[in-house]
Parts: sequence; structure tokens; C-alpha cells
Amino acid sequence: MASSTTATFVMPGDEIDPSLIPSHKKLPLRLGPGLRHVPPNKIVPVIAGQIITDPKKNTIWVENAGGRYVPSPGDLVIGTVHRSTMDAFQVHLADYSAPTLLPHMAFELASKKNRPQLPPGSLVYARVVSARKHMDAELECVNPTTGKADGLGPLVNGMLFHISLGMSRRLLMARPASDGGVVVLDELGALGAAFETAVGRNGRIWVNSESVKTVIAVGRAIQAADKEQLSVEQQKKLVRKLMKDLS
Amino acid sequence: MMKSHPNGHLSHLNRTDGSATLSNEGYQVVASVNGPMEAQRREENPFEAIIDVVLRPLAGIGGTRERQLESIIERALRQLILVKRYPRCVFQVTLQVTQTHRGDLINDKAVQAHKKLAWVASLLHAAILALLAAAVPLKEIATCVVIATPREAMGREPIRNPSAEIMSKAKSLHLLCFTTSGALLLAESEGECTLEEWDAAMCAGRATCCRQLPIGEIGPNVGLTGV
Repeated sequence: MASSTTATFVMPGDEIDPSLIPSHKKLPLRLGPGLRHVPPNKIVPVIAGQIITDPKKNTIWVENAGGRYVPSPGDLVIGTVHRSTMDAFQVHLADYSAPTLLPHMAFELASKKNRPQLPPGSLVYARVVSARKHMDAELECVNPTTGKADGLGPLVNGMLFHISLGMSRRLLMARPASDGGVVVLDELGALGAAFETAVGRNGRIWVNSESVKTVIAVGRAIQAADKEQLSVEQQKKLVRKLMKDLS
Repeated sequence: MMKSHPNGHLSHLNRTDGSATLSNEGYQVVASVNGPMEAQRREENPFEAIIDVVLRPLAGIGGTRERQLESIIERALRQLILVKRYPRCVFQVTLQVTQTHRGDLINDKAVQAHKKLAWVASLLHAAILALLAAAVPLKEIATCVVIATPREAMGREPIRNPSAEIMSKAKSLHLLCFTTSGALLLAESEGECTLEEWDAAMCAGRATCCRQLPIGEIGPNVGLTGV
């Protein structure tokens, strides 16, 4: 994670020290989640958390692991199909949140004759295409330029586990072990557990394996690492214990 | 009576988006926040989020008094939450009283809210802590304080965060709530006071809530109507 050397915590409405705001010769300053621009020239935090800056990309945001998922374009999410309408599925990304739309045509090789059958309750791994506050968010399970699924689509078998938004962001980093400090999955794999996972940005992780025991062990390990905020060493210890119980 | 410091816990309820417990002076509130959720069709607002405050007393279900406290808290929170960002959504704030003052029990039985001002401060603080835990976008945060104006015999200085005993003997009680920028968010009063006593209470309240601000930067008296 790109971060400044000392952690600075802010509360909503606090003033941000101008020295913390990065500046770049060419790139415009980009505000990430948790900050708002009050015209003409004030940047005010709207959530409590740690200020993180990335001078290379000239971005600044506030990091907070809690809260409910709010769709944002480009996010990979795991949704639950609620029902199917004329031309789209209604998909829930969080309990009791407004449903999002997943068009029947937004699947690989979908046509009017060959539309996907997803009964209520099935899981899909999808990308958020558009999320505007006055409209329902829209999802897709296909890359529109290539027409390929790229790993998106219905998730069959397996089991869904709930994790915090912070944990799912850490798992979705390019290098979860070194950047996010999550080694649970790597360690489980190294010790011989065979499983596959899909991480949704909306605080969901789907785990599948040949053996049900492994599925539950992997899910529980991730949830424990999340809830108890385990360090890398503690995660390794937890995994060793779990693997001993498995065999 | 010994003064105990306020004590809080954050994010201890698993099934909510954010939660907080606040205990202060023998009074304890558990607050939970869920949202932004989909609002029911008949209560949704197409342009901004609605805030649904549910106050549960120590025993039984809420009555008319709880409804009144709910509306006071709802109006205050509406000013803090960025409601325009979440049209057709609802933020549900649930406040459960889990412990109350000895003096609020009649024949060892819990009664419904009757000393409301002292309660609102704890309720509002707990609600704001839960909103922070739920990462709900807020314009600012707010702090509130109860100020008691004593009777002649007890001195003239206003008393901050008075004990239950002082509250019962005070001439008037004022609940004042200020935001980060020093704007007055909420002012509720009980009893009678002169204009000078009101000014003194305001000064004391502002000095307590806006300690970090230099005097010159304290905002205007917005929202002073209806006191």
C-alpha cells in the first residue's frame, strides 16, 4: 500500500494539513473515497480514518475498513440473484441495499435464443459498469470489448463468506501478501489445501473445493483474520493449526 | 457523587454496518447504524436519504416521549449526514438504552423517558459514534453538553454535565450541541432562565464543545430559532 510515513487520522469536517496533500507537475489531484471538495479550494474528510496518499498517481483518500458497500464503477463484486425480470436479473450486493441490474445479454455468448438461466439465490461474479446515485447500478459478466468472460459469470457450488470491506480490498490488491498483509490464502495453498476463491469488493468471498472441510476451513480462516485483525505471524499460526485439524 | 469518565466501544455488533456503546454516569446506550439501505416505496424521498431513528427504552417499547426524542435526534443527524448523496435510501439508527440512573427507576422499575435532556446528550453521542463506525459520510461531527443553571443558593456559575442530583435541583437545564466548525446544532431547554443566564449557559456550552477553535473562529448562531 502506498502510504505516507506517519499515520494521520482524520474525523469528518477536520482540516487537512496542506503539507499532506500531494502535488504533481502534470497529473491533476484525484480525490479517493472519504474526501469531498468544497468549492473553491477546501478538501474535507467525510469519514473517520487514516489519510493515505499516493504521490506517484497524485491521489489522496481516507481508509476505513467498516461500513456498507456502495457500488462504484469498475468494482468486482459477488452478487446474489434476487429475481429475473424481462431483460435483466435483479442482483443484491448487500443485504437490504437497493438491487442492481444485470442484463441477460451481459454474459459471454449470450443471445436472445441462448440466455442464461439463474434461479433466485444463485451467485454471480460481476463487474459494476455504472453507478449513479439517481439510477440503479448496472453490472456485467463479460468484457464488452473482447466478448470474453474473463473469469466473471455464475459461481456454482462453493460457499459464500461475509468479510469486512477493508479485508476484501486487501485481498483484491495486486499483491495481497506484501501490500495488504493477508497471507492466509497463500499459506493454506502452500500447506497443500486445494481450493478456489473469488473475492468481491462488496465484502464477500466465495470459496470452492472438492472437500467441504477445506471450504469451511478457508472461509473461517479469512473471517478470523479479518475480525481479530491478525498479524502475518498470527495468520500463519492459525493456518498451521487449521491444517493440522484438517488432516 | 464521583464523576466517571465516559466509556465507549466501537463496532462490537457483527450484523450491523456500524455500532457503538457509550456509557456515562451510570447511563448506557447501544447504538447501531445500518445504511444506506433501500427505502420503502411509501417513505422514500427521490432527492435525499431519510434517517430513521428508533429509540428503545430500558423496558418495554417506546411511547410518545421516545417519539419526541427520536425526532430531535433525527433533525440533528440530518444536518450532519450528507443526505443528498443517497437519494431513495434510508439510514437506520437504532438506540437501545441498556442501563439508566438509579434516580430514573421508580420502585426499582424502569420508567419511560421523562428526564429527557440528560438523555439526549448520551443518545446523540452514541449515534454519532455508530455513524463514524459505519463510515457514513458526514459533513462534520458534533458534540453536546448539558448545562445546569443553579438556583441562587448554589452559586451563579453554570454547571457543565451536572450529576443527577444537581439536575433535579437546578433552576434550568440546557442541552447545547455544536458542530466541528462551531455552529450551534441543537438547543433544548427545560425550566426557566433569564436572558443573562441563557447567555452564560451558551458561553459555557461553547467553551466546552468548541475547545479546539480560537474564539474568533466560532461560527454564527445558526439554528438559534425555536429555542
